[in-house]
Amino acid sequence: MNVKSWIFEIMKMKKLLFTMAFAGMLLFEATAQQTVVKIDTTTETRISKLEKQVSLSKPGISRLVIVGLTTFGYESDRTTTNTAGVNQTVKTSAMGNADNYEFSPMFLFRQGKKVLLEFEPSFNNDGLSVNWANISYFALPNMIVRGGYFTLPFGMYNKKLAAGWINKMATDPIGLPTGSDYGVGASGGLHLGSMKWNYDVSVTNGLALMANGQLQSINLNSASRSKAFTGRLGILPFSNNSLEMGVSGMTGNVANGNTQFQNAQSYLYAFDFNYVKNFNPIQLNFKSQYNVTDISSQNYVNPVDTTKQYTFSNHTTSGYAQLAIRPIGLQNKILKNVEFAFRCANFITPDRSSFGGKTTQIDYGVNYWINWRTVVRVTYEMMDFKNSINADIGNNTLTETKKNALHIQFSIQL
Amino acid sequence: MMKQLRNQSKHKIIVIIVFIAGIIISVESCKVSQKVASKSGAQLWSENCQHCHNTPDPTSFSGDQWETIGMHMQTRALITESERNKIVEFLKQSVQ
Repeated sequence: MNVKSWIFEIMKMKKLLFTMAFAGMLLFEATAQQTVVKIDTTTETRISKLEKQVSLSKPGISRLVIVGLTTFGYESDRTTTNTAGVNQTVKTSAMGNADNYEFSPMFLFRQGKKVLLEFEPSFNNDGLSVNWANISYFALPNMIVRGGYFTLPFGMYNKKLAAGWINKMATDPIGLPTGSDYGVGASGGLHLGSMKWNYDVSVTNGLALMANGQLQSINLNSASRSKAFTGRLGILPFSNNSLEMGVSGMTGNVANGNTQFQNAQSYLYAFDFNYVKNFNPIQLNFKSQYNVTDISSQNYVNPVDTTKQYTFSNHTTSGYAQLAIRPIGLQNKILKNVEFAFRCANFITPDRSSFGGKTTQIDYGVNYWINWRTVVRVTYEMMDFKNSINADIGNNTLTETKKNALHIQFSIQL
Repeated sequence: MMKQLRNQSKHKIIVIIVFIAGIIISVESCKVSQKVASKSGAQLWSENCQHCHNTPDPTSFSGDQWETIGMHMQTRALITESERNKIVEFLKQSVQ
């Protein structure tokens, strides 16, 4: 073979190799295109769905939830005061007051699966305040440890039922003795066979006794070193969770730095009862709470003559019972959202004290639920207050005040 | 004298037996009953939520938001962790 034919052979092989490479590329491209087509038809929808989810799941957004509530409404009332047999009647109406206006966004920030921050500022007629601002650590399956400013575990109403969109009436029941406070606490729920129980305990700054013997429910700046211990034990005896009964206690020194009340000790108790059961087509909802407040025997400065002192049995009771009925099982879309509610409450403050008296509160309500978290309420409330007499401190006139009020209120959970 | 000692021992034994029986009964009763353990998320959602407010519409929040709200509700309603997990899982599934 000469050189010419050898070069010709190489050229031929090159052509063949080039043709084979080209064919291979075409084949590869075709296969690749087929794969792309496969992705398009089977996976693309899923991928785009996932892409959407990922883009929405930015940590700061997914962990922070802003909920809360707003309430607004109208109140028209007539107050008749009978002082020593003389009647005086005043009629008022208001678009916003503590019962009729509230805007409370609630910020919930979850850090992983163990830490939760809860913060609820609130704006109403009294101004801007904070309902709670606390951090919870989910330490054990049945134990949450928390610190900060939180609702005290005393009774059921304040912690679970007071929210405007949950409450069955436009107003709160009278005489509930506690609110929120600074401190630390622990809570949790446990099964007990077919039953369930829960506990909630806290150590906080505590309450403060005012000069006239009244207990200040919120103590933001405790001047004493002693703290208040509060706890509630709840039991749900039925496996369907329809009934919960709770017993609460709170004790602590309430002198709050006032030397006159150095040994003033408070003893508070509460019993609560909550029963919710569906008897098709009716949902029955019964709630009640009874509170007792006792302050150890103290001497108080006489407001008429400050050089003198007086004393009284500082024993206060309050309680309410509320029944709500809603035909949730009806087919009719309007009727199934109508709820009828009735509540009676009383509040008895110490006899012979400057704030002694008896108050009764009767409420009738009709609520219309636009959806599960939006309600329009009409509540008619009758309040009756009679003061106690103690001529030694200047309370020598019997006064009876009757107030009838109509509330129309809209409330929504945001 | 011996009789007195025997009586004291008997009392001690009875107290110990009662104490041990009490512990066994307490531990046994703390176990979750089969009826309660087998409850679905939907059933727990229905039973627990309406205790305080209307049962929420699962589509009201996203899955991630239900995780956070579930934790918040555990602090409020004091449901158990297993109940919370089941309810949140049910709500998340209902959202999808």
